[in-house]
Amino acid sequence: MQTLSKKGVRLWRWQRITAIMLIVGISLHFAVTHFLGDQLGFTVVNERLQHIFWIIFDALLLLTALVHGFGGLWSVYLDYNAKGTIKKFLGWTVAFLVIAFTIYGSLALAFLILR
Amino acid sequence: MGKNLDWLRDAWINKHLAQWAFFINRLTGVVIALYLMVHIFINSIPLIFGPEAYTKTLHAMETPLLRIFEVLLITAVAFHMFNGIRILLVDYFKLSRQQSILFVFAFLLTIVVFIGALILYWPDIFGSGQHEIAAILN
Repeated sequence: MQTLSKKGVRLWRWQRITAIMLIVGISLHFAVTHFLGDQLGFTVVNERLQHIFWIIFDALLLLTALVHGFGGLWSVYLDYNAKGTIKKFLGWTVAFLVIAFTIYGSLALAFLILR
Repeated sequence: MGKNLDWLRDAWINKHLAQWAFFINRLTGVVIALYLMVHIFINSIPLIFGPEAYTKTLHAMETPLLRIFEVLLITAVAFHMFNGIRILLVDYFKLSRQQSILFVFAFLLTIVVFIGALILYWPDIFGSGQHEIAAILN
């Protein structure tokens, strides 16, 4: 029996784990930002983010969405004869982008929290 | 180059729902992934330009054109999510035989969300515009 590449299964598994998290997370995120507030602006967002629950929720949602999104983009790339040096380079680029966007997004989140 | 367009050819000649589900899931996924990056940048405006600039930008974005884009984005997210749930169900509950029916459900739910979003944003797209969503919901 052919063994499955551990890397391939890992990507597959993480797509599904993040997918399940996002089903709940994105629905809640959309509901709270569109339906439970006043006119969208800094004040509304800032007030919501005074609660530790939403700080943690938003930070986790950021990371989860980035992993799922870039994981998906990577999966698309893998389907098109991905190999060799280009694949290695793009792979590390994607990993870098996930980390970079997480850090940048977290900084942005901090400045939405601060009064 | 021809090999890279196989996915388009496949979606066209393999006339079964699962092929379309795959294609639309990928399409919506890519669009949403790109949107995510834009979304992060927009919400980093307080970081770079301060709170007032953020509020001003959000208000400036309430144009009919962008509202239409939002409706389409919501629809895309809805399809991607419902089809994603279909995939999870097929994988973890072994419902391969029901995958077509599940796709119909996913599609119908997407239509419901699309109509809902359209209704919600209708005043902002076709009406006098500003702040009507908040007025309706509060």
